Amino acid sequence: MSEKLINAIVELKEEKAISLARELADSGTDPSEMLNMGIEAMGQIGDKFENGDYFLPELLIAGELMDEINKIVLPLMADQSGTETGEQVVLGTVSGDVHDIGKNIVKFMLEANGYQVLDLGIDVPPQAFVDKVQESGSKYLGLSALLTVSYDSMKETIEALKASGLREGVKVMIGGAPVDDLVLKYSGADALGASAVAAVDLVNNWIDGKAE
Amino acid sequence: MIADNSAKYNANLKLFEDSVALKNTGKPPFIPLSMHFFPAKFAGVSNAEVMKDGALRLKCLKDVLYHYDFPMAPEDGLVWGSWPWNSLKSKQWKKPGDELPDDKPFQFNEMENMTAEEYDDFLNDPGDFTFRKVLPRISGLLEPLAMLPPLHNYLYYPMFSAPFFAIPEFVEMLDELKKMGEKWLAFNQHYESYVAEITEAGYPLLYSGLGFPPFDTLSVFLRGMRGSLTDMIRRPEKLLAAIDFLTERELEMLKGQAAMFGIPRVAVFAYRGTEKFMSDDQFQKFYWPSFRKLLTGLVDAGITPIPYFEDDYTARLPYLQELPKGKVPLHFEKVDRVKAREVIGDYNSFWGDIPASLLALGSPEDVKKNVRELIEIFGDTNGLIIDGAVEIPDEAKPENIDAVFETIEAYG
Repeated sequence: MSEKLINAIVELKEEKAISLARELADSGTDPSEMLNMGIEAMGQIGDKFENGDYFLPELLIAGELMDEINKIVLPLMADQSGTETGEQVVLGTVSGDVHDIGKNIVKFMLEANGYQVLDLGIDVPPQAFVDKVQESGSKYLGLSALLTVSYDSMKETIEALKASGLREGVKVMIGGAPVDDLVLKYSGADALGASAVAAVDLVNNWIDGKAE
Repeated sequence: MIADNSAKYNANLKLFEDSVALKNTGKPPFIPLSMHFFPAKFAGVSNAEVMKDGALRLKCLKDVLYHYDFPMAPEDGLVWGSWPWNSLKSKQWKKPGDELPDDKPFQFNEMENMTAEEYDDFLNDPGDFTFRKVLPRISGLLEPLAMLPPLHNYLYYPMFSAPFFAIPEFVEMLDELKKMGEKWLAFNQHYESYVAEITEAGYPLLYSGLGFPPFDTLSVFLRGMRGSLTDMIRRPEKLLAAIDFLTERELEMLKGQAAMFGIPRVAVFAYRGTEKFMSDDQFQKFYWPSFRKLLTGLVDAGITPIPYFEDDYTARLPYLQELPKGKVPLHFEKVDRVKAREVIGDYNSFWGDIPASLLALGSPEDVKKNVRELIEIFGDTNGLIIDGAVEIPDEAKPENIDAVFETIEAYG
C-alpha cells in the first residue's frame, strides 16, 4: 500500500494519491510513516528532475500534491514539532527583485534531498536574511535573483552578515540568470549555484567538508 | 506616419535592415533593444524622478541616444511611467518613488487573474471576461466594472445599462478615467515631439509595438506562472484553446500597433520557453507553434518582429531555424555562441548576449574581449547586431559602453 502511494505521488496521479492517503490515514497508518512515504516520493521526484524527466510543471504539481497530503497527515500527528528535520538552509530572493522561480526550484530540490528550507520569499532586505540566520542558527544561505539590481543587494546582504559578526559561520551561495563569476567576486559570496542541482551539491559538499 | 528622408536616418535604417537581412558587409551596429533606468543614472537623476516625469524621462533617453549615437532609437522602456498605474490603482505594479525606494527598479507582481475553472468563461466570451472579470481584478479604479451583468444582455435594450452610470462608484471611476485620458493625450504630445525630434536628427525608432508569445500572454496576464505551467498537465486542451485564441488576437493587435505608428517593427519578449520552465515536449506542444505562428504572421504582414529570448535559449536553437530567413533578428540574453553560429548564424541576425554583469561590473578590457569574441564568431554572417544580454543594464558603466564601440571600431 505504501508503494502504491509513493508511486501515485511520483507519477503525479493526484486523485489517486489523495484517495490512497485518505485510505491509509483512515486505516490507522502511523502518520510518521506516511510522512516518510512523502519524503521518499519527493526524493524520487527530485531524481527525475535531475535526470531531465521532470521539469518545473511537474515539480509544481508535486509540491501542491504534497501540500494536500500533508493536510491529511499532519493533523493526525500528536506532536508536529519533529516534522521538519534536516540541516537548515535560509533562502530568498534579494532586495529589489520579485522573481522566485529559480528560488522555488532550489527550495524543492533541497527539501527533496532532506534539507529544511527557511524560505524568506521575495524582495528580502539584507537585514531580514541576517535576522533569520541569527534566529535559526543556519550555516547555509542562498541568495537568488533575476535582475541586475541584485548585484548590489547580494553584496549588501553579505556585508550585513559581516557587520553582524555572522559571516564566518555561514556559507553563502548565489544564483540566478544574471549571476556569474563576476557577480560572485563582486558580492563576496562563497559559491555560485548555476542550477538547482548544483545548489544541492554545494550544500552537500559544504556539509561533507569537500568544498570551501 | 513617421518618415524622414534625411541621409542619416536612411543610412541608419539601412544599416539595421541590412543586418536583419544578413547583408551588412560593414561593421556590426551597436543597437540597444531597450533601456530602463540607464538613461536616468547617466543623467544623474533618480529612478523615481524619471518614473514620475515623462518629459524628463524622454529627455534622458534622447540624451543617451545622442551621446552614444546608436543607429536606432530604443523605445521608452519605463512602462509609461508611474501615473497611469497610480490612476488605475494597479494591484500589480510597484514603482520607485511610490511603493518602492527611489533608486529601485519597478516591479510587476504577477497574479492569477483567471482561475482554472474560468477557462470556459474566457473562451466563450473573451471580451466580456476581460472587461468584467480581469480588469476589476488588476485595477482598483476599474472594480466597478464587476457590477455589470454580461455585456450581451444589452443587445436588445441598451438603456438597462444606464442606472450603473449613476452609481457613485461608477461616476468616480468615469471621472478618473476622463482625467487619465486628458493626461494621456498631453503625454502623447511629449512623446510625439520626442519621436519627431529624434527622427529629424536621423534616428529611426527601433520598434513601435510590444507583444509576447501567446503562451506568455496567457501565463503573465491571465493564469499566472503556476497556473499556466500546471495547466499543461491538468487541462491541456483548455490551455491550447486559449492559446489559439490569443495568437490570433495578438497578431491583429501587433499589426494594428505597427500601422498606427507607421513603424513596421515590433518587439516580442519571450519569457517562459526555456528548459527552466518546460520540457522540450511541452515546448513543442504548448509554446512554440503559437509563437512561430505569431512571428511568421508578422513577417507575412511586412512587419519585422524582434523576439527577445530571456534566459538560456541554447536548447531551443533548432526551432529557430523554422523562422523566415533574413526576416527575424534574434535577440538573446544567454546562449552558447558557437552553437548559435552553427545552428542559426546563416538564418537570422544574432543580437545581444553581452552579459549584463560584464557591462555593470567588468572592466573595459573584459568587455572588449567579450565583444571581440562575438565579432570573431558572427562577423562573417553579415548579420551581427551588438547589444547587452538584457539591453543596456541600469548599472552599466559608461566606460564599458565606450569599450563596446571601441571594439567594434577596431575589429568589426
